[in-house]
Order: sequence, then structure tokens, then C-alpha cells
Amino acid sequence: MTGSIGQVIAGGTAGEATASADLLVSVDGVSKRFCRSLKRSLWYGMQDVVGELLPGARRRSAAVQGEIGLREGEFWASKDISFELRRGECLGLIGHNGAGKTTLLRMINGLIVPDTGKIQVRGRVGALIALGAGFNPILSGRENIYVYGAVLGLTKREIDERIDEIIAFSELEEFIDSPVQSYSSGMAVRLGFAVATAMDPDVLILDEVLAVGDVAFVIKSLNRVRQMAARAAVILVSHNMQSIASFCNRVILMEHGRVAMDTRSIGEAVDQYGQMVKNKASLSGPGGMVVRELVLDAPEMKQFEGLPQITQGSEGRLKIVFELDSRVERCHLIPCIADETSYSLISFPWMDSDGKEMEFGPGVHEVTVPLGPLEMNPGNYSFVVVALDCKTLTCITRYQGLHPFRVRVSGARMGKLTRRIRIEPTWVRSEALGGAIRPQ
Amino acid sequence: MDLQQPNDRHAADHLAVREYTPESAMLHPSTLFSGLIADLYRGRELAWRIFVRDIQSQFRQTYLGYLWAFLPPLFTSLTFIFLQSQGIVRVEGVGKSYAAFAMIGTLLWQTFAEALQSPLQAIMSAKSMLSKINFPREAILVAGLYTVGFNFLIRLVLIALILLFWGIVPGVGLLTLPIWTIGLIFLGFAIGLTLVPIGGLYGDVLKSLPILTQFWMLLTPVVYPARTSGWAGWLSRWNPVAPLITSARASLTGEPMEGWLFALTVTLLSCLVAILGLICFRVIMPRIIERMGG
Repeated sequence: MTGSIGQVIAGGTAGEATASADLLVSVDGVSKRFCRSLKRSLWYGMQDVVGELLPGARRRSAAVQGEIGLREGEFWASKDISFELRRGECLGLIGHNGAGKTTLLRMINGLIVPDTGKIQVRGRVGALIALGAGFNPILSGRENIYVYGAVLGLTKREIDERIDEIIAFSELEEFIDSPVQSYSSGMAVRLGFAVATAMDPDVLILDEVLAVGDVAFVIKSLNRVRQMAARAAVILVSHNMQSIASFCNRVILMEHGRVAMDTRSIGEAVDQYGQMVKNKASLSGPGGMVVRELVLDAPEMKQFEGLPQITQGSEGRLKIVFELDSRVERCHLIPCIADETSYSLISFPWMDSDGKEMEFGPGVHEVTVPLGPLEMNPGNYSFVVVALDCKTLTCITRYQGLHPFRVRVSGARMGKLTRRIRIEPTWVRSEALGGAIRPQ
Repeated sequence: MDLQQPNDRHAADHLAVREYTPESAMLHPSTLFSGLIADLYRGRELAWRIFVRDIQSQFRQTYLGYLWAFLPPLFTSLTFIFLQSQGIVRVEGVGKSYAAFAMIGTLLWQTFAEALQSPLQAIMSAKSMLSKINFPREAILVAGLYTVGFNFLIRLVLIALILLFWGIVPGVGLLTLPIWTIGLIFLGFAIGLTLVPIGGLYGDVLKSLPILTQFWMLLTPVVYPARTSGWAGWLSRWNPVAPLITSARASLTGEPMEGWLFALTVTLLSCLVAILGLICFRVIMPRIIERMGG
């Protein structure tokens, strides 16, 4: 794949991340074992504590060489993970819950020690993981800024210098001298974010924190993180592929504690991750409509790893056979295309020649319609079909996860959709550097 | 925030390197010790912040406020003062007033008891922070010590009032009080630290501590003077808190200090064990954090 998202967006920083840039994080053959049973886990903890205090040299050297086994009931939360990260790189860590992402972050952050292997971290580490851990609810916001700042390693002088900016960023000017327990959860998180990003780290760790607060604050916080990331090595954990695609210039896909993929082709990794998500068909609603058949057809469509795959931008044709039973008086039928989170991206309401929405009565209907260009970016998609009662506009039946299909990678872009625009020469006016573009 | 800092601040050579391996830090004692000192220094401001936060919030949502620093020991001693005044128990050799004797004793004991609980309590109350943020963890212990010291100072005011009320004159022995106070605090702290490996994992330890300290108090010459014979005599000889309590009280009441040499030995040993305990704390905390969850 050429021209990945990361290279397109973060071109400037990715360019700096050459071999000459500072090596900030180095993870070498790192594994960590966990235990599911709490009682047993505590007992193993006891053993580990004794092992730390009375280190038997043989067991230890074996551990360094990675020859350590699992005890009963344990599993590898992370296994044989190795990678290096330089300044300017933004690494996206993706994978299912329990794939070992957070365990890896906690080891890099030095909270827990690896069971095998070695981790080296250079410079100041900033971790945006638990925003506001350490807040005391009885103390005022201002007092908590000093406490939390100190926890994060800021000196009093540094906080003094930045406190006005922290308060301004959190937009809590009116509340800053009230106790934090009177804050809404969003306000507390905003304050936590403002303090946590007040430092200038060399290594920045972000664990699912890019979507805090209201929309305006999310935009502001994304910009702040972008600024910080430009001069640091960043590790970002997110289940939101949009943020992965727009932030990262490298992705590691984790599966069952192992690195399944380490690539600079963000689209490819996101794609691979999407394939791991199994979209099961399901239906909801009081009932009355049954989808008998649903087929998508597009030129150049082919089967790939068990799923039909279409090329981005190709024209799709949908055939749908559905049955309405006698409970239904009149209804509208609306197919939609949804992404892997079942979030509907596009709906295709059917209109008659008067521009009114089509109505169907009881019986079996077969409809074949062109859908126009399918502009979704690479990923896994499926159909959602909703039958709405014409009078009440309530849902009769809703199917989701129908006919899963993939969109092929052919130069990934930002956003959920991509529409290529063919530029006519007369649409562009350019002048040499230094000159201004004059309105025509 | 100045986000446009010059780039040379980031030159890789003067960046601190941290390394995490499965190898026990105990194998490199010198690195371990210098790391401990460095983190104690690095965390000094944080320790102070946490301490200020704790005392600011400790009594903020109460009506009686700082009175709570000495109400519990005061009520404990009132029990014994009542028993003594009614002749139910008869304690001999307590100087001018049994009330003063018992109250000073329990106030001093309270300092030891608080110090004993402070390491585990600090870990438990900082749980969410410990499991999510990497900071000099020694700071929470130091903050705990500050709190114990602060509460002692509050109690000292009450002790002064007691001395004044009963007209007890301390004498030059008072100058040794700081030593015994440090002894009490560090003895409790050292014992508390040795409980961390088990108590950090199993909640049973923290739950049983108040019961055990209550029992321990009765085995210690707190509300009665040290015995020399029998079980009680054996206990006050081998109970490390006993000489500290007796010496501290004697320094306040102006009585002769008999066990001062033993008390001094205990003080010095406690400081040594506390340092060892801090090193162990440093080594095992990642293992504890790993198991304790958020």
C-alpha cells in the first residue's frame, strides 16, 4: 500500500523520525503473565514479593533470557513484545480488550515490572491514563492542581507559572475555588487533562483519553495532544480507528498478548483489526418484517478471506427481498451501510416519482436499486435494514450486521468517506512564493 | 504553557534513562540505595503536597476539626481514669495524678499506633494513584510520617495543658523528648513497613491492625507503670515500645528515666530497620501494584 494515512497527515513529524532521531523507548522481548483467579493471583504476588526480596540468582538470569514459564492458572498478558520508538513517532496500539495493550503501557510507564525482557525509557514520561487520579474531592480545584501537578512531577514553581493557563484551559474559572466533589465528572476530567498536559514530556502515553468532555473540549484537547506529540514519542491506545488514523504514523496490532502486526501502513493495520471483529447479524424491534435475501453487487467485487470485497468508489447495486406480515399496515424500508461498530454511515431511503418515501404493505417484495459510488474508507462494513411504520414512524423491525463486506485499500484517506475530486485546470490559481492570490 | 520550547532541551544525551527488567533490584544494592535517596529528594515537594492535602482535608468535613487528633486517646484514658477512681483497678506508683499519667501515656501511645498504621494506610489511600501514575512512591510514606508528626504536635499542646493543670514540672529531661518521639514514630513506621509485603496484598493485615494495637497497648506500660517482675515485667523488658513510652513520659513528668539506654538502642535500631524497610518497599511495590488493581 502506498501513501498511508499516517504519512499523509504527519508527514512533517514522520520525516524527523529517521534513524538519527532520539531513541526514546526500547522494548525488548518483554512478557508479562497474569492470573485470572484473584486468590491465586495474590498468592503468586506473595511469591513474587519473596522472589524480589531474596533473589535466587539462577531463577533471575533465566527470567532475563526469557526462559520463564507459566504457573498454574496463569496466562501471558503480553508475550515477546519488541519494538523501538523514536522522537516524532506516534505509535497506535490497537487490539481487542484484553489483548495486552494496557499491560504493555503500564510496563513502559514503570508501574509494573516485566517478567521477561527489558524496557528502556529515556526522558520525561507523561502518561494520560487516569485523568484526575489523586484528586481529593474535599479540596478545591486550585488546591488539587498543585497536588496532581506534584504527583505528575511538576515542581511548585512550574505549576505557579502555568496555573493560570491550566485554569483557562480547563474552562473552570468560576469553580476553581470550590471543592472538586461539587464538579461534574466531565469538569473533573477537564481539570485533570489540563494539568496532565501542562508538562512537556519526551514520551507521551495516551490510553483512551482523547474523548473526554464535551465536543468543544474534545477538539481543544486533540489539538493540545497534537502539539505535545510533535516533539515526543507518543503511544496511543484507542478503539477509535479515526483517532488512530489521524494521529499515528505507525500501528502495532496486538492479539492475545502478542504483536500481530507492526506497520507504518495504518490502513492495513486498521483493516486487519477490522477483520478480527466478527460482525454478527442480529435483529430487534417488535417484528413484522423479515429480510429473506440481501445481496450487494459491485464491479470487481471478489471474495477475500471469506468476505466479499469491493474497491473504494465503485458503484454498488443492492438486491433485497423482504416479507411483511399482516401485522404491518404500511411501512417504509430503509437500508443503511454501517461500520464495524454498527454505527450507520449512509442511509438509502427510497423515494417514489413524487419525491415521497415509498410505502410497502403486507406481502413479499423484491427491490433492486443502485446505491451510487461506495465512498467508505477501508474497513469492514455491513448493512442495517430498518422497517418503519408509516403512521407512527416507529421501528417495526431492525436488522443489523447483514451481508458484511470489506472495502479494499487503495490509498487510504482521512475521514469516514473519501470522494476524489477531479480538478479542472481553470479551478486552480497558483502564484510563486511571496506573491498573494488575488480574487478574480 | 510555553509549548514552543527550543529543541535543544530535547537532545538525547542529557535525558534520564529508566530501565525495567525482571531482575530483582536487590542484586544491585548501590543503585537501589542511590535511587532511594534520589527519589526521596525528588519526591520531597510531592510528600509535602500530599501531607498538606491530607491535613487540609482530614478534618475539613468535620465539626470538631483538629480535636479529633486527641479525642480517641483521651477517651481511652478516661476509661482507665474512671476504673482507677472507682477503685475497680488499683494502679500504684503513678506520681502526682493518675489522670495525668494515663492521659500522657495514651497520647504518646497514639503516636506509635498511628505511625504503625501509616505505611499501609498510605498505600491503601493512594491505591488509584499508585496503579496509574508513576511517581516517587516513597513520597506517600514520607507524607504519612509528616501527618503522624503533625498530630503529635497537636497532642503536645494538650499534654502541656495537662502538665499545667496538675502543676507538673518536666525538668531538663524534657530535652530528651524529641529523641523518644522519633523513636516512637520510627519504631511504628519500621514495624508498619515490614507489614507492607503481606498487608499490601492481603487486606486482612490492615483490618486486624486496630485490634492488635489495642491489645498491644494493654501489654505495654501505657496506663500503668512498668513492672519489674512476673509476666508484665518480662513484657516490659522485651516489648520495644515499653522503654520509649516510659522514657518519653518520664521526660515530661520529670521522673527519673530508668530505661533510657534501652530506649536509645530501640530508637537507633528502628531508624536502621526503617531504612531497610524503605529499600524493601521500593523493590516490592511494582509487584504489589500489579496485584492490587485500581
